[in-house]
Amino acid sequence: MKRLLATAALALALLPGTAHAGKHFIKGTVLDRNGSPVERVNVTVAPGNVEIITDETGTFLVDYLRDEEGNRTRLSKRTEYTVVFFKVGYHEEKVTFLYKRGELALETVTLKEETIKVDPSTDNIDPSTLTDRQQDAGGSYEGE
Amino acid sequence: MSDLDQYVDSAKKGKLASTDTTVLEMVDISEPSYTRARALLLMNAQRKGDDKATRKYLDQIMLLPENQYNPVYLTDYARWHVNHAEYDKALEKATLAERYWARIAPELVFSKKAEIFEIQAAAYQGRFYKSDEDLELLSSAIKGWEKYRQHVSTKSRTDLQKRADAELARLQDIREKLQ
Repeated sequence: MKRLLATAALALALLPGTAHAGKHFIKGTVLDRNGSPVERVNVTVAPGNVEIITDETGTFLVDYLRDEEGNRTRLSKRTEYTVVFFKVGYHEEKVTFLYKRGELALETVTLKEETIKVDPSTDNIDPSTLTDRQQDAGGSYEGE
Repeated sequence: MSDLDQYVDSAKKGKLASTDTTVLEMVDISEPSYTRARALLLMNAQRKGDDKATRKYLDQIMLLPENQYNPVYLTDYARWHVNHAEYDKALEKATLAERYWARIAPELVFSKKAEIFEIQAAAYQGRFYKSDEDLELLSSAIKGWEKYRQHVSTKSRTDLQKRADAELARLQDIREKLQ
């Protein structure tokens, strides 16, 4: 539900002359290593208690934050913010920057895919000795 | 001592000479020493980190029906698949290896079972990464690493436990973020 609201907020924010009429916002784009946009990336801003997701073009826009009571607030001038980008299957990325005022376009963020590797065994055995064990055990082989 | 014993030390180090490789590759599938020759070539390729050759010799070993249910080769095959993001095939091979674990030499049972469980956990994790936030796959990956952790803790292998703990922490962090 939170994500749906955030998506709606993003859609509204992208309409000209609406939510970011005051022009205090940060925006950016998230791509993968092939240069393709990554949608539904979770974007959080700290401090700020705001969580949005990227759209189908990998774009996000943050034009408000929330205070401790959950009320909307503007981005604070001359403040350092950290934006965290999270999506399952990708390495998390963080970008820290100084927001001065007005519009700020962040550099394009590139997410790297998560991979998982299993290293070979360190058993230094002669594998060909293993077939003897099977035959000794008298096991029958399926498929024979 | 068989003729092939002379190649064991070099194969273990991944240092078979090209002439040795040629000799071993010439052992025909109809000869009794076929599996042993290919196993030495496989070991050599693995030690060298030659991915393409590893796959080639695994394929050749599996041509013989009696090798197709060998848990050691199945585990090697499963590892190859998981490291190439072929998670379904990795799970299939690892599950088969687990079913036939009783054929593993007693001194290798612990380490081979650890490998099988690690591959299974990694394969579920890989499938989860490729999914659209499928929480069932996430749960399977967590269970897989817990099974691996439980197994390696029986021999106080803290290095392997750390591996499991790191993956479990990563997955549990993701689960929290998704909830």
